[in-house]
Amino acid sequence: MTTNINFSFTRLMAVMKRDMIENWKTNMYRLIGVYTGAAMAFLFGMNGILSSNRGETGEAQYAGFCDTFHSILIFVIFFYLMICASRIMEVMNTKNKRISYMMLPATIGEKFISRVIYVCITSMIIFFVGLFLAELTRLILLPLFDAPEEFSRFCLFDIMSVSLDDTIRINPGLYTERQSAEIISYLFVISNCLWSHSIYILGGTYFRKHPFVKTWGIMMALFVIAAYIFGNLINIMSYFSIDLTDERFWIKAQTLFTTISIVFLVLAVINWALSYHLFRNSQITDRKLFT
Amino acid sequence: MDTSMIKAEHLTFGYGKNKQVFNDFNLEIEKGKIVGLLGKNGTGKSTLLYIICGLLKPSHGNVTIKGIDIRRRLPQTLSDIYLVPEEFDLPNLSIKQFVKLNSGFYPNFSNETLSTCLNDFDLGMDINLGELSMGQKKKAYMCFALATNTSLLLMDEPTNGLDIPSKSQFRKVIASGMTDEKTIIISTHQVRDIDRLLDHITIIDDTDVLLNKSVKEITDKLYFCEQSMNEPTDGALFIQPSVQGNSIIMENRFGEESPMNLEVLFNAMLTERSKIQEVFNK
Repeated sequence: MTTNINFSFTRLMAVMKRDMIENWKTNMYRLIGVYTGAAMAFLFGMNGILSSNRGETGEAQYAGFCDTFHSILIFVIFFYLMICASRIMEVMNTKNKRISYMMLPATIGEKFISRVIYVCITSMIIFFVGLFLAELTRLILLPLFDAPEEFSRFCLFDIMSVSLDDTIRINPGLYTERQSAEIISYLFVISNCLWSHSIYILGGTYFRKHPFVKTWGIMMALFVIAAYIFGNLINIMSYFSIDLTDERFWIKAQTLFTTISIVFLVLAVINWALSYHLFRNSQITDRKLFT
Repeated sequence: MDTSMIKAEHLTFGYGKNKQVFNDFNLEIEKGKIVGLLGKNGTGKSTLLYIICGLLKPSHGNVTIKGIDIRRRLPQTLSDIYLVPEEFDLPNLSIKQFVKLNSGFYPNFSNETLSTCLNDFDLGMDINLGELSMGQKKKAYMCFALATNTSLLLMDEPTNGLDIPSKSQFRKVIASGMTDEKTIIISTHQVRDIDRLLDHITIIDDTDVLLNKSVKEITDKLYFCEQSMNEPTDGALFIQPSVQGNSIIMENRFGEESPMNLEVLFNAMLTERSKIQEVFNK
């Protein structure tokens, strides 16, 4: 293998392959977990909808099934991504593992990218494979349920198509009536998701034990503080009769949400940079943020 | 030609403010040596190994391996160093799979060395790392480490957990894999397991290097012998009671050959440091 001191794709692939295969048990348990959870949810969900039928058509029942699962799926994917992000340094959570990973002859960048790919892409592939297998199980066990013909369709595509559309369009009218509101709402949701994800990446890089719980705890504390400040801000604004939806007001709602989105994107970049900084300065002892 | 493998200059390192391990510590180790790194508990032997391979960063000073600063953790440096820590985890894979995944990182990896070494330890190429006992894992891991053929091999307490036959096999495989371009540093308390193997001794204590000499220099200057209780011990630099009577270190005035007693030397350096150093300074 190359001993090039710069980035080497071959070496990156070798690090990823080693990581995947040496941790095959973890990956297998993760796949089994996703599969079991999704299969149970699909089967019990379908059974629930079919047994509570009040004379709806098969099409309506199937639409209800997809509607139920699309919101659940988005929530689960978000939650799963955050858990995976917080496990970015799973390969370094004990002293022995740290020695092994840090001594691996690859650049710091290659090792970091390898972990990023694992928590962002490979984990999602594992998730969707589990979901796919769960859907196959539902289809195989379908004859056991007295289900209308519509349920024999491959529902994952239908659930996804609803999910994507519904999640991104968070009621554009809430912000403004204009056409550009849609783009701003996209930007707002995406920047929020990226920022949340990056927070868990940072938490995962900083905390060695229980990174998800610790990061989640900090996020909750910050949320409570932010809600308190925001609540007071609203009170102050109403005291001065400031209405953000008022077109004459010097801060337009669009400007405000665009600014917030940009701030979140910048914060996400900062979180990623801090994570890399922490990883680069990793030692086998405790991590220090400011060294 | 530069024969230096490791150069540690003005190292200062501590675990927190109140636990200083090294303060302005200097050490140079040459190529082609099997070095015994000795010291009391808590003197920083393992810490020094971790600093040498870049797993810990000193607050001051630097370590270079073949002239390259280890803090950069370059692939070319890391592929030329292998560390066998005292405790380690091995994945639940067959040795063949493990080799397939890891050997690519080491350009000089030799399957032949691995196979020979595993045979020496009564392990085959069909073992599963997840099913081995701790001692067997250690043997398998050391075989992999030797097979990487890195210029620098660092071993922290390698004979811990090995049975008696394996300890002599260990000496054999280390000696057979040695070349002029390699340096092996063995940090241990089990001095009797390795004393015949070493050709350089480094003893550290309380942030200082007590001794950093080749075995030849040591035996040229010091004479090691066993005496019965009744024999006179005049002129002895250090006396340690033993089963036979006394283990003695004397100044080697007449150029006599004697096998080095590492345990006695270690104790002598801790208690009679100035006397011994005086002999070396002559």
